[in-house]
Parts: sequence; C-alpha cells; structure tokens
Amino acid sequence: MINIRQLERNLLVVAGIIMLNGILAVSLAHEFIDYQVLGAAVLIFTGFMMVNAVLCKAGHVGDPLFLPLAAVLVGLGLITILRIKPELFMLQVIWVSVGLGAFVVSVFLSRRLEQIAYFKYLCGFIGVALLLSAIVFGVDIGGNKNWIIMGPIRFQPSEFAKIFIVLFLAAYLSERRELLTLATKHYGPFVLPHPRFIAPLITVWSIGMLMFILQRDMGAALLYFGLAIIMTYMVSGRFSYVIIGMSLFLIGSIICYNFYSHIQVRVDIWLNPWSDPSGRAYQIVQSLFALGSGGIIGSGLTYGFPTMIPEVHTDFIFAAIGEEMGLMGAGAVIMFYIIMIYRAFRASMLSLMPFSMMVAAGLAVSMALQTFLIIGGVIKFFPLTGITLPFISYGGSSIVSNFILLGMLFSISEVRGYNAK
Amino acid sequence: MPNKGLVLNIIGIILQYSLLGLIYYFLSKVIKSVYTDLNQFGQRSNSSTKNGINKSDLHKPAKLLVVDSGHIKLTQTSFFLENTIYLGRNEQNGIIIDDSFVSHEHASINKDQHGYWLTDLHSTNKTYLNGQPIAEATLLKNDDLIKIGAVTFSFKG
Repeated sequence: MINIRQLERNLLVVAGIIMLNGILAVSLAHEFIDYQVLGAAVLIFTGFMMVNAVLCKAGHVGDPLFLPLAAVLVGLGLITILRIKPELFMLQVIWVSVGLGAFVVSVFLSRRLEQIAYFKYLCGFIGVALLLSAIVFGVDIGGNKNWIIMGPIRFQPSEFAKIFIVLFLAAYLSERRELLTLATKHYGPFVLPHPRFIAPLITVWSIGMLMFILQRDMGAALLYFGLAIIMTYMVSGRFSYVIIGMSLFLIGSIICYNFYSHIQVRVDIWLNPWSDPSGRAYQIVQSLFALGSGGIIGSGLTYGFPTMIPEVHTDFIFAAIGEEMGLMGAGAVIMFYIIMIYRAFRASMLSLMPFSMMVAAGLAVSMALQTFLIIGGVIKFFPLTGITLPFISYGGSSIVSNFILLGMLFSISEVRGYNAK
Repeated sequence: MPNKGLVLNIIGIILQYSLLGLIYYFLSKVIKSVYTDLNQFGQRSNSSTKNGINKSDLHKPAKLLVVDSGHIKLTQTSFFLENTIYLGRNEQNGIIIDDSFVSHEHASINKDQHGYWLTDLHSTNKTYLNGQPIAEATLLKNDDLIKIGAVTFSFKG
C-alpha cells in the first residue's frame, strides 16, 4: 500500500510544475520575466508542500486528492489572472496563502465536528445574519449589491454564509430525519410532512427570494435554495420535497420576472443575446465569441482576446480559460471539479455519523451547484448568475471560504481512519 | 539578434503545448488513483458481505471485551450482545458499571440489519467512541473502543 501523503506530495509537485510552466509561458510571450511573480509562484508551491508536511506530521489520513486538485485549480487561476489582470496577481497570491492557513485551521477544528451540532442554531443564526447584513449594509460593486465594507476590508458575506447554512441544515435535518420521512399527511397525490417540519425550508425560500429581489443576486439565491431542497431530499429520500421546492421557486421566479425589470433583462439576454449584442448582452456575447474562437486546443496563452469580456477575472474566468486553453483546458477544469465533488460525496458515504455525512454531502452539493451555475451561465446553458468559480476566480472571500470548506471535507474524509487501513 | 528571438519563440511554443500535456498528465494520475481506490473499495465491500457482519451474526453474536476496567469490579470480562443491551449504573441494565461517573442509564447498543449501533442516552459524562464523544447513534465497527466512565470496552463484531 503506497503512503497516501506520498501520493499527495507527488501530485502537488506535478501541480506546481503546471503552475510554473504556465507562468513562464505567459512571461515569455510578454518577453519579460518578472522575478517577483516567479518568486510568488514558488511561495505558493512551498505553501502547499508545507501544508502537506504539516498534515503528514500530525498523522492525518484524509483524502489525498483534495489538496492537489485545489492546487491545480488555484494554479490555473493564477496563470489566467497573470494573463488577464497582472495587477491583481500579487493580491491573489496573498489570498491563496491566507486560504492555505485557513485550510489547516479548518482541518484541526473540524476534528471535533460533531460538537458543532450542539451549536446548530448559532450556526444558522450566523449564516442568516451574514446574508441579511449583505442585504442591509451591502454596497453595490459591479452590479451585485453583495459586498460589505468594514474599514480597509471588504468581503462578500454570502461566500462564508454558505458554510454556516450547510452546518445548520445538516444538524437540523439529521436530527429530524425520522420525522421528515414518517410524519406525513396526504393531500391528494402529494405526501407532505407536517407543516412544522417544512418551516426551515420555507424560511430558506423566503431568504432566497429576498436576496433575489433586494440584492439582484440571483446566483446566491439559487445556490441557497437548491442547497436546502437537495439536503432535505437526501435526508428524507422523498421526491415530493423536491417538487414542492421547485414549484415554490417557480412561483417566486414568475412573480419576480413580471415585476422586476433587471430579472427580465437577465432572462431576455439568455434567450436571445443577439437582439442587443453590443448593449445589454455584450458580456455574454463576448464570452461566447471567446469560447468559440478557442476551438479544441485554444489560441495559446496571451494569443487570445479574453480581456474583451467585462468581469473576466471573476465571473467569466472560465471563458478566458476556454479561449486560451481551448476545449482541452476547459474540459480538464470541469473534470477536476467532477473528481473533487465525487471525492466529497465519497467522504460522505464513508462517514458513519449522520451529521458529518450530511455536512460532507451539503458541502459537496454547494460546490457542485456553484460550479454548475457559473459555468452554465458563462456558456449560456443557463441564465447568467453572478457567482465565482471556486478556487479559480479572483477574490479573497471566495478563495478563503473555499479553502475552509475543503478543510472540513478533508477532515470528514478521515473519519475513523478508513484510508489508513 | 534574430536568433535569440527565434529561440525564445520556440521555447514559448513548447511551453504552451507542455502546459496542456502536463494538465492531462496530472488528470491521468488522479484518475488512476481514483480507479485503484474504487477497485479496493469494491473488493472490501465484497469481502464484508461474504464473511462480514450479516453472516457472522447468525453464528456468533458480537461481543464487548473489557479492555480496561479501571478500579470498577465488573461481573464478566466479556459480554455477548443481544438485540438491545443497556449500559449504566442501574441494576436493570444488561451491563452494570458501578461507578459514580456513570449515569443510571448511560448508553445502549442495539442491533438492526446494518449492524450494531451505539447510542448515548444523554449521560452526564458522555460516551466516548475511539476517544471522541458521540452525539448520536453511531454504527460500530470491529475493534472500536468504547469508553464509559473509567471502563473501556473493545467491540468485536
């Protein structure tokens, strides 16, 4: 049996070489090698190796694929940011370093994950407070009113709220799983639970709708709402919850569509972007041009024109990868996400405690939904929603919160030493 | 120096292609590791259905071995587990642990088709499984260590 930390180290080395290779390719094309940038890349690589060494020393036996997958995604993100917004590269390096620290702290704290179940209402309260704080004190940056500014720090609370909401839902639902499956009433063809037990679902629905209307943050609304429905379905195994949830969301969406012009715009440019390609649909049309001109192996780093797309370094970074690395690069990125989400569900299946099982599954669902919504939006499979692509997009809140999430998954994956045997 | 420009160009082109190559090398290594893991997982779950919990239950029930009894006197050094067994300080319990740190009804172990579940019955000083307090019913595995008060049991199933 090969040592799993050894496997992790080997994969991290390959991920590091990928990052250096990409950075050199970008630098050579600009005919100018910035030693600061190279130094920062080496620093990030050393950071990942140090996390590996710490985990090895502390005898952790968690899933060896999480960290290398994060490393390769972060590496691709850094390469793309260096290409399209070089002035943000150093900041992103700082965020990744902070994220790595947060990962280690999260792994150590999550060893006692089941104790968090005692504080489930506190978690729920913090999550809802973070979301509401964005609604009340939110500042409009780049069209979405989901930023909070506190002195020199500005962050997006919805990125962190998702972790608390998952913890709350996992504790609440795993405690009441019998009630959700058994305490039911029949209304015609539908089997509904007692109204008392769908109260949290209704609450999450109304928060989602509030965010939808007040913040214009359709991505976060869909994310939280999907999370609540899927977690309830996973706990109860009853499809009727999904149907109820979907119809509630549909009703809400139709109402919003009729009353709010910005939602009409979102849907209209999704259905027919060519009606106004240089105006309202400029972003999505440019993204489609970028993906199309990329072809199979892409134009090559620095040989495309991804900077034509507004917000390319955060929401639309996938289009930049698709243009300059082509279908091959973009497909590999999707494969990395699929494997990461699969490993998260694997951690959930191997876990023996219902609570940690639900936490892992909830985190996996949140990551899957987020990736699906933003990639779907960028390729015009789905109406566009403004959320970040985990680990790749530029942004402190996004990077740090995703590393915390990954640390929790890592910690759950080592429950009672399955990997060690 | 046109020569230098040419060399740099060639290196640049090689780097562009090697980047994609390396990404796919990484992907193949990851998939290989997932594949071996799935193979082992399949073998393990096969072997556990063959001679694991379900079948062995019929022949010999699981038991608790006393690993460390501290200063407490227990009636036996091993206890066979029937359908449901209670552990605690009361006389009515299946396994009586006479220790002031143990609640009257401290914990229970009950059996269903998946195996044996350990539940803490809201005891004051908690039930520890492999060093961690348990918050809810947990499935027991072979060689799990259960600590109640000063007594440590090893689960054999």
